[in-house]
Amino acid sequence: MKRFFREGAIYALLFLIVFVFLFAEFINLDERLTISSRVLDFNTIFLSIFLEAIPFVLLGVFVSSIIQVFVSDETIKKYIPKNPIGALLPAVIAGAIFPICECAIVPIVRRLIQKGMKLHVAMVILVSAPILNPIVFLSTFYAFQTNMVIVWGRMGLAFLIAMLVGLVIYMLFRNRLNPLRSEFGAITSESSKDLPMKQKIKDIFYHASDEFFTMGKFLLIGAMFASFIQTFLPRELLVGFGMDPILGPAVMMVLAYFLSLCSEADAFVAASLNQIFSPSAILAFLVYGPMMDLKNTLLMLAYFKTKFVLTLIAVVTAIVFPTILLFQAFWY
Amino acid sequence: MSKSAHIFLRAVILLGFTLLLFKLIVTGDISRFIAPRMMPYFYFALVVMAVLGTIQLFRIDNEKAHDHDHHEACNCAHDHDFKGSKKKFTFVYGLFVIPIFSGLLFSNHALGSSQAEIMGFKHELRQASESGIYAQEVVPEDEEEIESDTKISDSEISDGDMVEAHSDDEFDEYQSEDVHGSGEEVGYEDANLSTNQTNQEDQDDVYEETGLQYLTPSVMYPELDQRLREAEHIEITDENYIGVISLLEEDPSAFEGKTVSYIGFVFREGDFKENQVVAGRFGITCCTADAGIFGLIATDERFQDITNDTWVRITGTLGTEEYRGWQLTTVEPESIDVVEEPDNPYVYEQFDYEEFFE
Repeated sequence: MKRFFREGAIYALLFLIVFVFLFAEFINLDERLTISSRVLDFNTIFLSIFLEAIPFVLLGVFVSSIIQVFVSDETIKKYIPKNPIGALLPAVIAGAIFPICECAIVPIVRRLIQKGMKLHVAMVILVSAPILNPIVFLSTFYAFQTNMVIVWGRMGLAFLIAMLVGLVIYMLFRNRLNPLRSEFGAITSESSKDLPMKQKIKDIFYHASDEFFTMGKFLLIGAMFASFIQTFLPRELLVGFGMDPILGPAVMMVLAYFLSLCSEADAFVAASLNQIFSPSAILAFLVYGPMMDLKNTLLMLAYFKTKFVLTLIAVVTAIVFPTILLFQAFWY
Repeated sequence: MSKSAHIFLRAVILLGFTLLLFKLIVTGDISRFIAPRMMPYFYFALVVMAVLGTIQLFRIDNEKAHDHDHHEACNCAHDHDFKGSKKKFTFVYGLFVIPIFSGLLFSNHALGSSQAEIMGFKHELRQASESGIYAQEVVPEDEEEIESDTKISDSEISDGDMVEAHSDDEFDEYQSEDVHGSGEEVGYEDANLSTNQTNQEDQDDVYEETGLQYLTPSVMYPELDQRLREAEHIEITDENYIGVISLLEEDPSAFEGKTVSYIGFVFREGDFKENQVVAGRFGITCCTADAGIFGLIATDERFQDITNDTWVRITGTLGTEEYRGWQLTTVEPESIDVVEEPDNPYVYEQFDYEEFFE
């Protein structure tokens, strides 16, 4: 009975969508209701951020699904050297090769650790992969084509910071710590290597749509938050501290953490804030957000011990902020 | 909620997005959200949405047969998405449903004076958004500001220098750089129009070293710049709107006395006189979120009867005027005709950055 109602509700939704699709022009709701133009402005900017981001999110989702299905973790592990410091550079490069954003990287890194990858190497991949990848580069390029310093600065700083994070994590924990929650300690993950091709392709599409929904909700919240700021916050108020060399980056890091934007789409949101914040504040947003945000904190807490997650947040924050300030001091 | 119900709902949402994207293309309303240059990506999204939605429909049968057993071989933690409270799902799926309906119902809205008011017709901000490179120059201002307040007096002197230097062709371009760059403080403190020649020079060095170039309007549109300087009458069209307005603002005095003709919507800043308006349009680089106002200040008695958001065609003579410490391009209207809102109220950046950087 319950199931019947639920399916009925979904059919009703489908019907309503098709109805509005066909008859929106006749309903003419925007003229019937007197909606404040500010609310409509909000809606327009919200939709524009979302629509602009969709192709890039889909692109990322597909590439990441393909890798998840076709590339085994063993292959990745094979290329990471045994020397703890020497492994940092290959780890960043591995992170750069994988066009996987911050949502998808968490379970992968968890699996890599289970299969014996060193903790600090895994953390380098965790923080670098969401930024150092071709799709993020492409979307950042499109959003900031007027300012290549942001594009290269984002990539360069991510590279540097990822190595520093790995180094600090290594110095803090060496190899003593098992960061995983006990329930994940013993599971060995299956690989889809042995599945028939047809199943693999199906899996890619299933993954892609699952990931679209996993990430889409954070993207939607982010687009709403950002367009709310766009339409309701007079620019004059922000001009003061958005350009402040200390407060600007700090505020943008807080914003990046809570907006939890997908790294493939955050460049467009950042571009919309470009008028208000200084380039180094924008960079702080673009570098910190993919490495550490509310969404991947939650994802990590699912697998990792709370204490370790908090330590990692502290380490990343303590490295990103001064690095941005240094970049700012030397570049300008 | 069973997994198959989730998948059915997701199929409906994905197909809903497909319909939304399809409708935006058919009605042309897509131009109100993203710039034409982004359209190839948008078509890609439309196709992928349609495919994903359709595949989800087939997946339902698959899932109905497999509900409850762990069949997905990849162990990639997506399953946790299907577990949770009813409240959480209502919220999450509600989020996805909002843009489908708000997009289908209100896609025809265009930004107007309400958004212009929030953004402000303040050139220093506009310029920052129009070309990010300008924005870089802003930071040293702030640093200097923090370092010492005494510099402001120096800057006042250089302010005077700059005004004098303005007639000098050699300084002309230099000055306009400065005006754009040092903007943030100027508008609000009526001081330091161009605080830091040294910083400016440092910047130049940086650009020389890195091989990057200042993207000033005259660098971006050299041919258009040449044509405008030679022309007696300037006709601003949809295509050259952003280029022409940027060039006029870059060097206001060079175009003084020429006649101009263009359309735009009317809006007023808080501190405008009653007979003063900005007539302009929103210009877009990538998507509407990066929209900026491109327009000219016009002063005329006839504007007292024209409300905000009214579209007008203005024909008049270009002049210059001081506003919040800026030398701005103005238009002295001869004729003001109220016109229909154009099919596409926005104008788009025509400059091809990719080619420029190659």
